[in-house]
Amino acid sequence: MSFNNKTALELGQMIKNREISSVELTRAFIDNIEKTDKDINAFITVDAEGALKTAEDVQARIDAGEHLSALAGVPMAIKDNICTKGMLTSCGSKMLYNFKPPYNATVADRLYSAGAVVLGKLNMDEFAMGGSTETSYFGAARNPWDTERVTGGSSGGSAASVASGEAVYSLGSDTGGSIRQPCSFCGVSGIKPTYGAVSRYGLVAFASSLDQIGPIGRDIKDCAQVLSIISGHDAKDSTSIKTASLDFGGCFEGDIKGMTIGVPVNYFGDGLDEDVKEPVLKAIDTFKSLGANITELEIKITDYAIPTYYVLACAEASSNLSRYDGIKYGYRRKDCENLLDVYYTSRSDAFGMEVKRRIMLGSFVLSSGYYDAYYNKALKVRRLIKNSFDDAFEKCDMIISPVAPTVAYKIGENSSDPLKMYLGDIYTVSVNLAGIPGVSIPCGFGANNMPVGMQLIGKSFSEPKLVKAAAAFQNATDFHKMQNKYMKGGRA
Amino acid sequence: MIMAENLKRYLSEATGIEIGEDKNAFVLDRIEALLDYIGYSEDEAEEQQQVADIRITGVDDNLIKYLEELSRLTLVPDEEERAKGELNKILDYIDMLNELDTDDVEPMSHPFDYTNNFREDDVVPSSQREDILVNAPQQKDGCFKVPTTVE
Repeated sequence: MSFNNKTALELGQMIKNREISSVELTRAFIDNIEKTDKDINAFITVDAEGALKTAEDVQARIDAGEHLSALAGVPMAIKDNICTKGMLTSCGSKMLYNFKPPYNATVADRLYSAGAVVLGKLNMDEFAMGGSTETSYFGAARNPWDTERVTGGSSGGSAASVASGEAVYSLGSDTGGSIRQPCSFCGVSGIKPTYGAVSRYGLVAFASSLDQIGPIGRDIKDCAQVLSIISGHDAKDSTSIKTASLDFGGCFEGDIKGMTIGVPVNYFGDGLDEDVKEPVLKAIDTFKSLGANITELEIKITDYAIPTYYVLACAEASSNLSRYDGIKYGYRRKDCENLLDVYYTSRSDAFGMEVKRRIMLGSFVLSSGYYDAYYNKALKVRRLIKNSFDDAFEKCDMIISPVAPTVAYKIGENSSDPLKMYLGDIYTVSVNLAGIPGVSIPCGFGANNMPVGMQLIGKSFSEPKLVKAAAAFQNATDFHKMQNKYMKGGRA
Repeated sequence: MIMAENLKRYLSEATGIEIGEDKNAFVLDRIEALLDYIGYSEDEAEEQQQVADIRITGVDDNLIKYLEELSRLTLVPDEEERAKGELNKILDYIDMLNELDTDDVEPMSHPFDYTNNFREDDVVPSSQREDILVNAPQQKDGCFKVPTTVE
């Protein structure tokens, strides 16, 4: 029996209907990972034993009539920077090559309570710093649509595992586009939630004022279902907003008549590849035909988003990553003579070049003499960016844009030029700077038949509205149902 | 104040009037008051000079060494060369922020203006010592072990 064309919600329903047991389903997915992941390298850790045990427990509770959630018993996987008790959480780095957290991230706890079956932990750029999953200590993840190409990143494993049928859904994290861009590259759906909507407790910190955990799935409804489970206030995260979980009731029918969608014309100019532009423009037509009002606007300030982002993200990273000292956990160089030696050698041995460069850039912009000219300047521009989005949402309910300027490129193609790599984040980083939500869903195929995604951006806590529009699009189109050879060939 | 000294010398040279020892303190005092009045700050000027310098000379070997020290990293010579080139390129790019006038803009360090979001001060169980120590590269007597720090 093939489950590849099934969504998490459908599989959850099948389990409830006794058409299949969670254990059978989990076993099928573990078999599939064994077969597929040597090509994709989406997983850093596969916990077959733990997953089967969870599946048995969850099935027993379902059999006993307990209602855990709509996704109970469905196998999924988690990005390797989200702490899972006793299970390796490496952040794709040699620095944490042996780190088994003593506690669960809040999102992991909430998923376990909802009956999620965790298959394992997913590949990523080292400490989430990168846009291709090539900087992982465990080797690059490969795109299921063409294994010569990158998955995008940093949540490359999270997107590729769903796209290849190795997991039904997954968790990623998004600091500057790290959920949305790999979703676009791999042809799956994902949500970067409003800052503060999902607890960051147990998410290994990269840039604390930008990081958010979010779901990746086969369609937007699965993502919304997962987000309703993991969102909501958490006393363990002081930046978690004191609101209830996000509620998507009534959003899935996707009636968008009368909704106003803004098109920032300056997002469609120079630097955007034609083969990406075309499907996104077609998507705008689809929304129009579904009854949405389309209005053109300009958000010029986002031209300054990338330099702002790299100043702030690196500044926060240089501070956050100072905790890796070779003392409390992770890698430590042996036979050091003194304490400073432990710091210098352990950090130099265990961080990759991209991480080192960002720590140094962050140290620079925060250092005496340069703080005002760089760090403080960027904080001020961040305010201007936020204000521009506030102004835009006076004129429309949401904004539509591309996710990335290109389709997935070849592995190794951009890795020697960090600045070029950074420019790939042009459409995504401003969303993190403003703290607002963004959705990425497939809307077609570009050059070399690689998937193209579009982005919907809304004001804070407008996720239900974004999901409604995305669901309307997916109800009317089939792009999210397209299958690569791994999806077609998978036994699961 | 270095700036006041410089201005005094400049005035003296430009006018050909020698300022005698007895008037020295008085003139300096007046110049400083004037600088103060126009909002001149020596620290700020020094910072601006530093930033101007880096825009001209770029990231050099000394700065790379300094950043390694701040970051507690040691790069091999190859990596240092690479880092220098890349940081220069990135800083050049970041300089585009100066096109924007931000004089009257409040810095935004967080998406929400949220301060002191405390939880209730209830006593709840925390992590167990042995659970935390499991990941320590070296431990002894229930503590993290490090090389000798005090002789």
